[in-house]
Amino acid sequence: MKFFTFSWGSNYIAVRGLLRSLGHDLATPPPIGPAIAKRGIARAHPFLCFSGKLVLGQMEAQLENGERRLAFMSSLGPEACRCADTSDYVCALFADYDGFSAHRFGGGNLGGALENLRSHFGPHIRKFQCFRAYATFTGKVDLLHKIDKRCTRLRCMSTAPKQVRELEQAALARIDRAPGPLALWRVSRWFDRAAARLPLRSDPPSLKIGIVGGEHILSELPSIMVVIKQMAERGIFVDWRSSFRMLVRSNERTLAPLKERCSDYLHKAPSTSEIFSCAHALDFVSEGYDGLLHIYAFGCMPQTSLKPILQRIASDAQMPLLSLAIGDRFAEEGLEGRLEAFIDLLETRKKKGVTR
Amino acid sequence: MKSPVWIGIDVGSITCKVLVLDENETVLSSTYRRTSGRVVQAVKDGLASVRDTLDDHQILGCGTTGSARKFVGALIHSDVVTNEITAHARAALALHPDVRTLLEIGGEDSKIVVLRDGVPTDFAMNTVCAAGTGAFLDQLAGRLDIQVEDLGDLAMASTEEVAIAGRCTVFAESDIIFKQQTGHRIEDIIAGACRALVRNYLNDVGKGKPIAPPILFLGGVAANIGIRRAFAEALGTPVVVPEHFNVMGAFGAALTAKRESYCGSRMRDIDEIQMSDFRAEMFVCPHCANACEIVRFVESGQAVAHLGGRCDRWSADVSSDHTALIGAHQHI
Repeated sequence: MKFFTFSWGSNYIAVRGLLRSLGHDLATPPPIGPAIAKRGIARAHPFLCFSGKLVLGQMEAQLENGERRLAFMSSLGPEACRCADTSDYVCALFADYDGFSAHRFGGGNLGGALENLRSHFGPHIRKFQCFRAYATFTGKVDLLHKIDKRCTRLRCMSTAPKQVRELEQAALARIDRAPGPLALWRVSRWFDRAAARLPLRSDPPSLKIGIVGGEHILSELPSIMVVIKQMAERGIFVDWRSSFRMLVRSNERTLAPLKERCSDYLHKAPSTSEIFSCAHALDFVSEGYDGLLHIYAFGCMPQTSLKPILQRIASDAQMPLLSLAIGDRFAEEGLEGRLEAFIDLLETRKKKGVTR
Repeated sequence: MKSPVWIGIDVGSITCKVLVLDENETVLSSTYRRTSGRVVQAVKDGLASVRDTLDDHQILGCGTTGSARKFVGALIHSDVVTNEITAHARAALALHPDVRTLLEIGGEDSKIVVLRDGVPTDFAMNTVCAAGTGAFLDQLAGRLDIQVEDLGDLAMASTEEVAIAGRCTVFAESDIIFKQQTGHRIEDIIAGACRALVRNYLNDVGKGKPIAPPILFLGGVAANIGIRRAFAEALGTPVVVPEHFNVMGAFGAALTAKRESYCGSRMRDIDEIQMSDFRAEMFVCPHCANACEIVRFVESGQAVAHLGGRCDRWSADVSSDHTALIGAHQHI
């Protein structure tokens, strides 16, 4: 059977891997653009976060295109995003499309995941099939994450940005084709070799900026890429460690040491993205970065509650912080102006020898 | 020999400011006017009004700033295009080298810049709400059917404290209606609204920022004495409204043009600008699924430059030097 989903950046490729392991397939979601955003804004309740609106826009476009079976993930980790609670609402919005059905995968553990797969993708699914499907899914998510981060860095460091773009596209195509973990390991090795051959700038970066947040707006990757592109063109090294993978792959055990490290700043019940973003911000401070750039989807609850935490970290470290809300109520012009001013500020500080 | 001057133009969401600076960094003339949604006409009018000042001078550089900086830069062939935060900081430091905090409230945005030892060290802008900006006062004046310029004097005539909700312009309007219905004086309501705007600004834009004196208050809203008093009360220290407070962005843009040491300006002749039918139009790029919105600048029926897009297709598409102006000479 053929399913459809929303893009989650490039993570739909991992969803396709999971479905193919089960003998199904997935349509390629339409890329995010103004038309998709307009659809989502018209369809959604105004208080839904911008990412949610884009998801709805992508869903509607595919339903209009004849797709009917939605595959979507319920939380695999302890993320406290309200999106997890609104999935029924999202499905209810499209109930007027004849034949529309929603199929959920994921779950708190392997047992829950197997139960979900059997309920939604076929009662015949065996335990080993479930294991293989998730091994493929998480393997692809991990590799997509690696490609995202490496290519972000390469965009800043390489003298051939076009080659970086081509490498990234080729890597995504190979990940999509890879049938299982062994093939993914080969893709990873191929990517490492190809990346190592790219020509790099010889001069050191003028500035080092750490990006925190943004994992909830992977579906808005083009917006973030505008930001990264602008900075990379100015020879600024951009480090973006957050990703959707954190939300997929984290659990209480892996989060415990991070929570401990961030205990001076976090409240009692932090969400996964708060924990990771806080830890990344502290890492950027200790690694001597010039500034922190917090990117979040307007209306995203975990990232909104992170804002005062980051303000405290930045204030304690005397490190400039810029919070950029990306959403349908935020003109690109305003975003660019703020970003330009932030870069100006960091450059002036550096030139004048302002230390933290 | 004609003495040199530099021109700065700041076009924001509500107003257009044009300023002429001489070689001693003294303001020779300036103008401040509402754009009323017609940016090109506002720039033409602004340049026309400073034109007499330019008769005995040679323009050596021109800078643009504000949210329409790129558009206006393409219209006049600006030498530098700089963002408004940097422009304000530069201008403030030129006039008051010891300044430590800049409060700036414009038509639809507001900002704070923290400076230490003459260096901007931190800044913040309003996020996705215009409640703590000039738009709030415009709304208030409209609701009360008075001129926005009169708000300050009316606020100073207040005798009783009235609390107005300042978190959101819409809620503030509801609150104002309620306060009017319950018989409060207009003067007291306006003073309450001024305090609400300041409260909103300090809780949103100024949150967590070290606001240390000397504090300069810039932007058109600084003309409102009621807001000035509300800031002084809230901060427990006077706020200084400097000369040229409402054209500081244009001042900063002119300074940037001057300090970039251009030997000669690329700026078009003012007569040519006055005759221009320059306009912008928007279209969605059909070449890939990103469907980027591209702004096309058109003059005499010809596309002269493009802005926008996630790739370089449109920035490289037009061979006119307009594109080079927007791209290569952008000062950021």
